Amino acid sequence: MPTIKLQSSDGEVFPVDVEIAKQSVTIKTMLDDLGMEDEEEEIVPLPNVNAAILKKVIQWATYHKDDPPAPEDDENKEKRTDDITSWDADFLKVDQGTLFELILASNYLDIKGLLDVTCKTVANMIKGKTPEEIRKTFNIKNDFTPSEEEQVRKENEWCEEK
Amino acid sequence: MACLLDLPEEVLIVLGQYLGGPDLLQLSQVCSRLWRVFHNDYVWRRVLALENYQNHKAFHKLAASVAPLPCVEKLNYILHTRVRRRWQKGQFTPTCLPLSERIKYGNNERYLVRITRKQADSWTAQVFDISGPGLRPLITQQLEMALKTDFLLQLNSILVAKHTALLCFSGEGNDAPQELIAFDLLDKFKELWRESISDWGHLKLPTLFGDGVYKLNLLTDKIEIYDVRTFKLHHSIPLVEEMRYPQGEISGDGKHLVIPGHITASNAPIISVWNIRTSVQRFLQADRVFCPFRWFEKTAVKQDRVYALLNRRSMFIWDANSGACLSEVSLSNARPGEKNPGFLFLGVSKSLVATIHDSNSSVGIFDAMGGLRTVLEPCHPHFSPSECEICDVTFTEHVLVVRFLVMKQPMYHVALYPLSLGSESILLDSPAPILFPLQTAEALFLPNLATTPTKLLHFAGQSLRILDFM
Repeated sequence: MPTIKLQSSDGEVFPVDVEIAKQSVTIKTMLDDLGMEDEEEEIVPLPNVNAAILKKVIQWATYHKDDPPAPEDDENKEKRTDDITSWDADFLKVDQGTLFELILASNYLDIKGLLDVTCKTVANMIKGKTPEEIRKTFNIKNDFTPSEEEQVRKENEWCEEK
Repeated sequence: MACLLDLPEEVLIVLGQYLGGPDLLQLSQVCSRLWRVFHNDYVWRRVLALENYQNHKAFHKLAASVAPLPCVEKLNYILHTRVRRRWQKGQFTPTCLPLSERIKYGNNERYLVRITRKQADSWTAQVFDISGPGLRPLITQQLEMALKTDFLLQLNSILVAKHTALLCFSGEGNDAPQELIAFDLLDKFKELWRESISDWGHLKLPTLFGDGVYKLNLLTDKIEIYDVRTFKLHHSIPLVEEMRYPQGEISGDGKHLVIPGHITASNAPIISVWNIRTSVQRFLQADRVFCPFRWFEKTAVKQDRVYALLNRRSMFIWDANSGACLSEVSLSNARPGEKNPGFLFLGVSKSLVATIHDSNSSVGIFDAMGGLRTVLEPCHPHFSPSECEICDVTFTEHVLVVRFLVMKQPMYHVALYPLSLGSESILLDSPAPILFPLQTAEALFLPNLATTPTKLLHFAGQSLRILDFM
């Protein structure tokens, strides 16, 4: 099976089956456009992904190599978050930093399946929480400007029970 | 290491698509960056559509007057959820307006029109915007309305369609002359047109379905449809000679007009349904023979389905476009003329039908194909169902409204049953309905109930009681 070499931002090189690497639309386009598929020694640089995250991405792509292509999103359908497989759930039991790095990597590499499952995981961490609880969960500072604060207050007036 | 705020805007938008409206609202109030990212009409338009909210222009208008661009749809969503919550929890602000022989009202979803007679030809018109919170006065105008006819005419009803108020004056008796005057609600209650119905010969009072004035002219055997603002004739539909119209209640939804009648030769009940846009006429009949004197006494049309109640005995559902009979539901074995047959039409929502039955003490809820979903027995906690007479049922976007009279008090009450979004079903897992009293019943006055997306209006006795759910 032909392989290519992916190089992380910190210089580590990972040999990967071409078919596994092609789950990334970014890599697939690169290989197709530059005709790199047959040149086994060619290295594909990925300056936005470090070695630890690239390793996780390759692990995910290897496990999902036989998956059918992800269906196109239907804008008019509600997106579920309760359908994460147990393998993916275990795979994503990582610290928040790694989780968000995986989201950034899957967005950069354009791997829809991985972007979906990581976003679902974050969405599940948000659901049912108040703004203050979300701030605590993700360590975010309340930095509203006075005019935004006023708009939030107006919105909340309509939300209140009275 | 990366954190939530390191995600680019397009990824945060994708993440937002995995959250429902309430969670997205919370997320948008976390910090300045998330506030700006979700200050996005595209995001909220999608949420509104996904949660099956109907598109109310009035909510959008109110949102636009309060929220900064480009986030009108976010406040629009908040208004929808507020109104839904208040309907379903029975939270309202009450208002009472005087009602008498001299003070009459008419309304649609946007306007409440009050006409007060001061002297013989001297009247005051007041118009309120009822689409937002409370009643917002729009127009107060003195009117000198000398009627064409010398006959002593009473202001019989006020019909409101879009931006037009139609005052219907009539004398006593079927052949008494009638007079219609239309006024512009966008231009200081300026008179648009007037017609004396004595010119028209024998006919039924026109009614409004959508924007059209429909006139059943029995002299010319035609249904005539006029533009309510100009009184220009839009359609003239000849009635079929072999049939007698109308025998039962006419209904329409702005797209279809449904008129029940009889085939003259066989006396079999039949319904004519006209598609007003295409002028195609179809005839709807039961596929079996009923004994004479049966007729379709109540009809309704919604979402291209025609519903009809045959003598409180069977409910028929047809596809208005193909004419195919979708369902026949047997409701009872009551015979025509029987004293208390007990099946009264009818509330129709997007996909539910409600009938009142069992001696006016319970409500049957059917799906749009005629399948019985549930039977409700709303009554006052201190009185049995047999002491409570159900008067009418109406669907709003968020609740089923059942009005009933506790005969021993005597007092009108309302029961609100929450509906799932899109009126797809009654929320059966919810506890008892929300119950509250409306008004004392007065023998002389026949009460009337109207609903708008945000309000419930109860016209009874000496007052108009308005419950505001916005």
